[in-house]
Amino acid sequence: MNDLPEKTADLEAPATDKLDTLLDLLVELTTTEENQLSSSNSHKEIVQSDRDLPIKNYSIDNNFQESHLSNLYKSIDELRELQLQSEKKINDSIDTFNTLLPLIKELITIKTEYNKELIIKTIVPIIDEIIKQKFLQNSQRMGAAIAPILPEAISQKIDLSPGEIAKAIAPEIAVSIQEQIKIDRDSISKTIGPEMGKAIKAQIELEKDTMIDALYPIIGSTISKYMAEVVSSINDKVENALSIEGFKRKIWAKIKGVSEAELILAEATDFEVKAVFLINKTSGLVMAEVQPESEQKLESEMLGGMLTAIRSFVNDCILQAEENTELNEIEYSGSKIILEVAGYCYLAILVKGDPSKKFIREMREVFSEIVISHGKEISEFDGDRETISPEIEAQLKTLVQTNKTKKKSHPPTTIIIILIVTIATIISPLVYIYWRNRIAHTIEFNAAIALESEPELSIYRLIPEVKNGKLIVSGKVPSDRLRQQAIKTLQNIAVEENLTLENKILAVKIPPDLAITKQEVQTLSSILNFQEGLNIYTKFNEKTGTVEIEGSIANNLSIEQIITTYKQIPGVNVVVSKLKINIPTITTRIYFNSDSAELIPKDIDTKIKQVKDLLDRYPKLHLRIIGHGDRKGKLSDNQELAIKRAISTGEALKSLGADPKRIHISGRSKLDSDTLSDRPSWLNRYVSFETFIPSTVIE
Amino acid sequence: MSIISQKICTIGDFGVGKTSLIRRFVEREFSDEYLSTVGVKISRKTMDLATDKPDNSIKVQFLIWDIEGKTKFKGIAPSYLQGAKGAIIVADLTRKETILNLQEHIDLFASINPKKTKIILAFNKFDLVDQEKPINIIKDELISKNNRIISTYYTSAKTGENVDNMFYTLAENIIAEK
Repeated sequence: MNDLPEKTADLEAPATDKLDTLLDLLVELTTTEENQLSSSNSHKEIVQSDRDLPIKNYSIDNNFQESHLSNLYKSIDELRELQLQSEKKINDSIDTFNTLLPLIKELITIKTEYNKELIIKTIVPIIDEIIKQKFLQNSQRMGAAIAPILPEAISQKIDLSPGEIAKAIAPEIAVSIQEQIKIDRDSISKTIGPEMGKAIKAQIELEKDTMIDALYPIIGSTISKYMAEVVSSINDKVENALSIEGFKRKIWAKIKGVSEAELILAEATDFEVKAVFLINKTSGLVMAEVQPESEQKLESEMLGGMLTAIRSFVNDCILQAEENTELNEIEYSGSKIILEVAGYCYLAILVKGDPSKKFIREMREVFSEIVISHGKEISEFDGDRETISPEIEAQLKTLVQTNKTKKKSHPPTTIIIILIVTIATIISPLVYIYWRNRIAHTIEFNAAIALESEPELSIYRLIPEVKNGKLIVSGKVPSDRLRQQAIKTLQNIAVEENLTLENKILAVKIPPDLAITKQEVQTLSSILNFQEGLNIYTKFNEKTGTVEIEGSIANNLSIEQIITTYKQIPGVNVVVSKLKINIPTITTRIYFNSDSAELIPKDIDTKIKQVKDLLDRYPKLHLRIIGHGDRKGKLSDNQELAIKRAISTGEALKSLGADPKRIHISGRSKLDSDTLSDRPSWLNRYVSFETFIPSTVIE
Repeated sequence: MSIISQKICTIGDFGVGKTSLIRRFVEREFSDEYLSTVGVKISRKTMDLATDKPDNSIKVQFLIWDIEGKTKFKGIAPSYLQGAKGAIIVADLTRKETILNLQEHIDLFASINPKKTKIILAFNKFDLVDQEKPINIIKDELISKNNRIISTYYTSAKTGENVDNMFYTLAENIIAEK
């Protein structure tokens, strides 16, 4: 209590001292109050002052109160005065400071040149403090002020010490990404997504084994799943290869002209998709479904739940030893439920029959597309199907529709094929037989025409027949010659039709009808007589079968041909020719000088040439050259000279090209009957010609 | 108006009356055929829930996975609980051990479904016990330990007491969370 006046007397001291004094005064007052409360029960209420000082209730005598209150008010007024003075001083100091700033700057520059480290050491804490203060005052302005230099600063720092930067920001990256995902999930996916492929590829190149180890559980499972399907399929086919089904397939493959493998593939497509469900993997809630409207609908939610329970049961209790394996299908009496599992959902497809590999491939493509395109809505599915895009259902429908299209077109095709095959099986042999018969009939007809076209064969009943790739000719002819002639006639047809010719014609001795034979002989004679230079008549001896031919024939015709023709008439055994040949005569004579056998040159060009021409016209004509002599001198000399004359003539003919075999030389010393003794002797020195053809009788 | 489907589970020890409670709730939409090998039975019940707007109710379809009770030979397959938005964990008031096991069931369900799931505790066979049976201490302790527990009910599958209330409360709480 005694200290109070002292405290009030110090009000002229600096502001802090004044404050201390004031506080001490208050403490003193409080202590006094407590002491008085404990010593007396009488209290006085002090009303709170309208000034802004905390006032406690206390009880003291009035003089003391007034004295101290007066001191207090005085102290407060002094304090206010001091505050105003201080503020003024501060403002004055800022002005002073502004005036000094250029000087300070200059000083710092100079000092920096001499002792940079000291300056930094001095200034840095101040700068730190300033930045802190400014940031607290206005963080946005600070950010705006620093932002332009940050990229360059970071870039510089990365260049100088990349390790430090990495170390500094690494712990923050994961947190930043997590925050960004919370703010905008898609932005991170869109940013990183395009680079993921490249990054994985690059990583594979760098650390192939590590990547293989990382992906093996997934890839291994996928491959093993696929391989299991393939092996199972192959096993089935191999096991069935020797079964009735296998044989049926082989036959069908032959009929259809396709490989057995293709047929197996076609068989594999024999199935029908009954329903498709897209089910949440954990809750079993159905997100989308496709069920045929025509059939009674399945309770999809119950089905989804039960399938999910079964999947969970199998995966937990049966497959737990084998990681990354899945329940792929549930089979029941010819139908199956195919399960294809992704991250948040799985596809359940009710199929009747065995789905083809192609369908499984299509199903996986569709499912994969759904998962990629609608992954977010699938992962966030919360029981409301309206949150699921209708596109998913449309995509699921394609699985059912694709299959339906196949099924719709399948039965008619099958029936048509079966019908065609059946009809073809029945009709083909008939058509083939008919076709073959028609061809055979045509060949037989042509063969018969060919035989009819041969006059000698036309009168015999020869039957051509096509059988087993052969052209068989049967019948009877009276001679082997006619038999061979028939074969010769049909040879060309057989070659053209690629048939083997078989001769079943019998050459039999048929007793001739003599009347007919006689008639044929007469007919042939009449026909032959139409030829120029031929005048024949015949006699037929029925007993011996001999034809006797008489008459004349021009020497250029062949008696042998005529005889052969008669011999071809059935019943004619022998042909006797008494034909006389009409031989041309040569009346030309070639005269010689006395005692000379030398031809006169002009005779060679004229007479000898004429004789040669005649020989040429009649190739069978022979020529006898007869030399003659006159009667002068000895007979023997004349005879010799006559022969020489014949020889010189013959030589002249030979020199012109006459055949020596057809030239015969002869000489006569006697006069010819027409040579008169009284005529001039030169007329007796000549050469004459006789023509002849050796007569022949042919049997 | 669309139907919102939700999966919920009923779990609890063997013989506590889970199946009976569901049978009572779903009435005709109930199949007595247990999928005994797999150990789960699924039932369905659609409810109309009122909303804040008049004449605008929501249809909620519960797919109730009745999971076979735990025995000493066989535990509950945890994967059955996956994806459930709620659970009714059932104890038998006549068997103390089933009440003591409730925490274990709560922990299992919560560990598998860590996000936004709702749990109701059903003290079943209420018709068989003294109305004043002092289980409140245990109940309160469970509630204080597990903030997922939205409510507890004394139920009786036999009389139907609180059965519908319990399921509707669960449905309302699940939908309110959405």
